[in-house]
Amino acid sequence: MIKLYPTEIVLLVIRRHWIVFVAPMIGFVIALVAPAALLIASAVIPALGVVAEFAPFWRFFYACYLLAVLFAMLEFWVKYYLDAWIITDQRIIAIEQHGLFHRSITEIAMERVQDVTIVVPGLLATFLGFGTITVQTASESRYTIRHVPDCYRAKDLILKHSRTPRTDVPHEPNAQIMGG
Amino acid sequence: MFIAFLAAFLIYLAIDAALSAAALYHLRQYTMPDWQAARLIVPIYLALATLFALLALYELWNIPFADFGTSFDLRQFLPPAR
Repeated sequence: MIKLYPTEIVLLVIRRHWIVFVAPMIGFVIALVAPAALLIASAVIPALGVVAEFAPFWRFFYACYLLAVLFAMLEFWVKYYLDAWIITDQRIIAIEQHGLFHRSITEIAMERVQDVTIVVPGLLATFLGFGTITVQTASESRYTIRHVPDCYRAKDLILKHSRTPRTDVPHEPNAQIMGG
Repeated sequence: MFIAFLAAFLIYLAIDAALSAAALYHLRQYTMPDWQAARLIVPIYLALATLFALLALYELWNIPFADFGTSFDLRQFLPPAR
């Protein structure tokens, strides 16, 4: 579970734009429909008689295959859902979910943010309103998230809170942490 | 033949269940309390996965292994008797 400081407020959670779903969803639909279509066609087209002859086997393998495709869809969605930036009034928590067992979490204190760059790459991105946000910190590290919807709002929010002077930020290593 | 298919299917099911459990654990462990979509996806996934697993088991039960056994006699691969 992601922990927040007692006085910390989540301002925005950034996930990638729905456009990232389009290509994989087409792939998943083809993967689901193509074997079923072949199975149905085998009953009608004589050339596919070999498939029809083993139809009970194919139906069994297709049911197993559906389980695998369902898991692939879940894995894709989990990666999408957990790959997020959580912007709070005190820091940016950048979570990168590379795979099911491979994730990295970076925390950027708001006062360390120096520059925020947004790039809207092309016609589609302009029309659908997504872009890439890059945050540069005082240590010259760069953190990037792509396909961000409403990236202008996110940039403004980060800049606003990185310029706000803070007095109640718990910087001590033993500061109390709370859930949620 | 049926026993071999059933054993392979159960191994496949165990691997699928283990990977699914890992994915669902990640959803539970690395989300914030107010991220509701994660709580919605879990029962939907479990219902669909159970449905497909039961469907596969049903189809396995309905394979007429005896019929295929006659056309796929393993003895045809043995060397001819002298």
